[in-house]
Amino acid sequence: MARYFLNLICTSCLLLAGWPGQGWAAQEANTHLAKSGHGSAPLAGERLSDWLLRQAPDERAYSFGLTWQVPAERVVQSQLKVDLLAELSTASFLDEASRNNLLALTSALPVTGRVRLPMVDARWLQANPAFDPVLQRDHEVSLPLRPKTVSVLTAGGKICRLPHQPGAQARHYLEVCDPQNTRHMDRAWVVQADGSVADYLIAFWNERAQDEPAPGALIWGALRSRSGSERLSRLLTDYLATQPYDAFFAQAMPVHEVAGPAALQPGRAAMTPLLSASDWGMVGLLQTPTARMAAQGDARFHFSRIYPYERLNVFVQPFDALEAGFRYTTVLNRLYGSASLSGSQTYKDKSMDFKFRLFEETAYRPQLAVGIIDAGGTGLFSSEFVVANKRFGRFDASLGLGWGYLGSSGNIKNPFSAFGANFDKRGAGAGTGGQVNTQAFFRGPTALFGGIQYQPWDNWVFKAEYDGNHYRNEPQSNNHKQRTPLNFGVVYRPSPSVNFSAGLERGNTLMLGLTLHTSLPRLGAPKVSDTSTPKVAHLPPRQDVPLWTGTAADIVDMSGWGVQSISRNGRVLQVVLEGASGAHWSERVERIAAVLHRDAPASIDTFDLILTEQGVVLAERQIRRSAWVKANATFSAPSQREQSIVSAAPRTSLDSASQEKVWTATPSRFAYAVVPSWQQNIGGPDGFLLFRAGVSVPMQWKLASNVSLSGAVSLNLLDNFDKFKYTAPSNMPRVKTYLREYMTSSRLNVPNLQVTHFGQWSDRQFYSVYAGYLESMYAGVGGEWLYRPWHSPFALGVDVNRVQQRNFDQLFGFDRAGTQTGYRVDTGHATVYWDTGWESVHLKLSAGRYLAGDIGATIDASKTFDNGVSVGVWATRTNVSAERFGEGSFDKGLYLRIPFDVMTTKRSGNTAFLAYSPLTRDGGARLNRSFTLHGATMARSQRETGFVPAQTNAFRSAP
Amino acid sequence: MCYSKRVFLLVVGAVLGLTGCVHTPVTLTLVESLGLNQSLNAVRLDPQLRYLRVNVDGRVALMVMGYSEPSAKGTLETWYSAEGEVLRLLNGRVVSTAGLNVDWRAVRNKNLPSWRQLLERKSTEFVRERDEMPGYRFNLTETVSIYPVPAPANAKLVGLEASKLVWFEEAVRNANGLPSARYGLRVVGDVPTVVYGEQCLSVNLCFSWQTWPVIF
Repeated sequence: MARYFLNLICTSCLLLAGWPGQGWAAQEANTHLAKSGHGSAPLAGERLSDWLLRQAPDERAYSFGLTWQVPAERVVQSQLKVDLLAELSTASFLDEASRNNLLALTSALPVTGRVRLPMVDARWLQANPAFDPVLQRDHEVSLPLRPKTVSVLTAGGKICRLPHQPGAQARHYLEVCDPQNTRHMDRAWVVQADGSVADYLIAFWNERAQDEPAPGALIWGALRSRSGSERLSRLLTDYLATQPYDAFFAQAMPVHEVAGPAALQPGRAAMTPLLSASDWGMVGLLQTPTARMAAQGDARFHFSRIYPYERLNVFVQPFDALEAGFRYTTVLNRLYGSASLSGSQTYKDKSMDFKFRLFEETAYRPQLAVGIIDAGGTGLFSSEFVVANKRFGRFDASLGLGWGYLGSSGNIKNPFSAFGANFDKRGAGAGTGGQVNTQAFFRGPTALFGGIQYQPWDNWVFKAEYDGNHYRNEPQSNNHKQRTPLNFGVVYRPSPSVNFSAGLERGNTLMLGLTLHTSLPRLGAPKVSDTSTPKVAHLPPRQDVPLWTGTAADIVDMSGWGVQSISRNGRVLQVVLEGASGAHWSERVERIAAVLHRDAPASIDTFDLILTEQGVVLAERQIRRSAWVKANATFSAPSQREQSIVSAAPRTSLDSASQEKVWTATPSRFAYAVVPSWQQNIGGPDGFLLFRAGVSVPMQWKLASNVSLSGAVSLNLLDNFDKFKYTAPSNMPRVKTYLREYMTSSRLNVPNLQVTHFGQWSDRQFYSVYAGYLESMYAGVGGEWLYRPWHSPFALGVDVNRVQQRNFDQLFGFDRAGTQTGYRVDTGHATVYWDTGWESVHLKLSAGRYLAGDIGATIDASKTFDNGVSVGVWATRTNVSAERFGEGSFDKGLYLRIPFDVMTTKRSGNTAFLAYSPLTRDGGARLNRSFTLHGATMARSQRETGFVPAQTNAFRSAP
Repeated sequence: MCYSKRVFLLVVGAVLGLTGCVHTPVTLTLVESLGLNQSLNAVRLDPQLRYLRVNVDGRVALMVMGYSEPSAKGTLETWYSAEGEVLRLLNGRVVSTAGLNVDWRAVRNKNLPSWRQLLERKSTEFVRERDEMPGYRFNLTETVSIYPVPAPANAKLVGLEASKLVWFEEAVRNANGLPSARYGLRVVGDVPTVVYGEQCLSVNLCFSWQTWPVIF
């Protein structure tokens, strides 16, 4: 404190003495090379790039710290200041001195109207006008000198300034300026000189990799565990980000100067913990799980081998607090079945796992998770566990309790035995599998397990664990000798998507593993194979008679959507589009707008895109031309941005008397495509993977605007179906279990050929009727009705069908379907669709009659990430008993839907749908209709048309 | 001084070119530079423009020079890609990039001799200070050794034999995995000109460039 006051007094003395280069006044005088109002005022309408180029070149310039102040922004920023002062006044977690210091500091800082710029490089701005502001006379622009310091706002509300050190992170600066308090901080907020704000985890238990504070940055570290401190920190740093980096000095605030380059010795850089899969695919150590969770959306494909087990695991993290996956376990020293059934194929077991995080780690409390392994399978490896994790820098320790397979050593007494003796004994497995065996949960032998992982470098992890299994009670009497319960392993990550792992387990057995992982929400591909979007001209073309044929062709090229007609109605240009598809609609609409702006006469001020499907109007996008040009040709302050593309409720009629149709598409009645096809059967007795690969030719012939004949022909080019001999037994009508027969009877198939009429009863009611070969196994007639208000989270549909089983060869006829020949059934469902609005979860509940005549319901829940990739699960229960259903007990599965838009370098309307169902059975089997109203009316959905590409961070072109 | 408004450049670009200060309007530059999906060999080049053939992990594109500005330190060239990314070369060395996955926003070289001096001196060291984004890694200071090397066999030169150039390599002391840079110089009389370069902006982002078309 004494030093602080001394500094203050001394600064004042220097100021009075008028010494150059010292104290705040000198700092102010020397920190700006050019400042508008001081001879470098912007010219009205001048681009920032031009203003920059007008300044005399100076190597000391710090364009990164340039401030652009717009008076209109001061309204919002004044409110921000009011909110901040109010928050500070009531911040009971601050002591009085700190509160007063922060109040004084905030009060003294003026409302500036500063707007953050994404990049300040004159030459780059010239080439990217959408980021180049147009300056006005009342704007202020200031180009500072390159600073050499970083400032810290201490928890006590004092300012400390010290030399910038390359490599130093927020914590290092805080430790110098506020050593007493830094150990009580979990987070630091960094306001960079460019006006960006980021908060970083900095404590020993939570630190993550982070950016460095650049010269001119300001760091604020708030004390932990103070209710409201996070809101205060956000308001404070948001407000500080509106200030020039030298604002404190400009306001003559007392500054604690830490001089000399030796003041700060950067320690090691913070590291993000590397989370890796256990042998079971779940995030964990080797044999044991941990409480750690991967980032939301992470997905991994993992293989591990430790004799006599090989495990193929697929795991996803749909939510922050839930990890789920499934697994195929191969038991290398056991046969699948009798030699007559499966030859020498080894035993395969299917299982599903779940892990829930109960609460997150804090400075004083470990992270806690509970999980189930092999839930709903045959239960060979069924386990439950509770596990806690606490991190100590580069060490992460776990300790847990396991039941079942995981706790088979029984090294401690089951703590739940206190609630009754029935917890002492574990119930038998689930028999046919598929049912959750609640009689086994948290019962029987219990073991303590745990371990530690150490990460010395970014991409290496060493693991050691104490195993809860003694391997003397293995399933199938397959016991193993264990020399020690201590297992050791190492993980190496050579690239962000690959892990290699190895270990020594049981003291005598080598483990090898490979993990391929990715982030589903970050999947994306730069569209380098697509035609570039036309550059946005500032002024529209003058000619009034554009070549609309070229415009329509370019719209198709930009979006992949069909153009039906282009009409003019006064100042509005209406474009009727059909067949809108793909995940990223906004991007396509932007590209269409660029074409229309390039071609449309200057007299047009609105582009109206009408989205239709088979003549039915589904949605509308209105593009306000001037606002769109402004958004794409200049960078505006937030308060001056206008919405340029509006999603509007669709009209019911396309035509009006005042419309002048300027271009109409020549009807194209026939369309087809050639696409690869793939079918598989995994985990059967004839081989782990049976597949067929070939080509499929989907085609459509339009009989009328809303009636089409559609279908597909597929040809099998490569398969290993010569091994496919097993037909699963069934106690029900074999509505789906003649899978082998359908897949192997013919190389050439017609899986679908149907006539469909799609219509609209009102602005929110749609219908379809259809007849033909509706899917690979069924033909018949049916109809569907859907109630779907525009942009509503709810929709309701009903479908009814009368179908008959098709021939096994999937060609034409009904007389070669084995015992199912002549099988007919009425099937249909009422379905409620609900976009919950929570965590982008969509629910679908269907109830009705299934193909085998059983009655029941299906629930389908899916989570969709912002880029359009979704993961989902479904389960069906009908009035068929588990015994009659057979293995698996009820129909269930999970799926992954990946739009091609996120995978290919060229935009595509296709979607990859990867479904995994442990077994194909006859109970709960549904008609797989190729045309559904909910899919056809996707344009009605706000959510489904609002996905955006992930930031791919790849070269858009070569540099 | 070459800073001028773009409208002005449209009119007097040729005149400025004669004085050694070449400008190409940005709009024209962006149109003339080519993205990744076009065949460069089939492209008809505008003889009024100067091109750079850039190779990034085997993907090739053309950049077009927007500005060439003499300064006390040498000639500063500003090159544009079709997507508006910017590469600045000072005497053939990267001194800034903008819009790439990893940018060197500014490079400041201290005690860096000229190429002509290097031809005589053969090898030396200089200090490079740079600002890297993303990550806000500013004032990164590196000691760089530069020394002549034999003509390499693995350069991504097109239409030009490596043996016809004089080669230098730049290695960063304690590089933390950052590969060395390499330059191919054409020497006419005693005037060296960099016609080929390789530079890694990070461990994972390396590219090479070559003046295009080949004129020798």
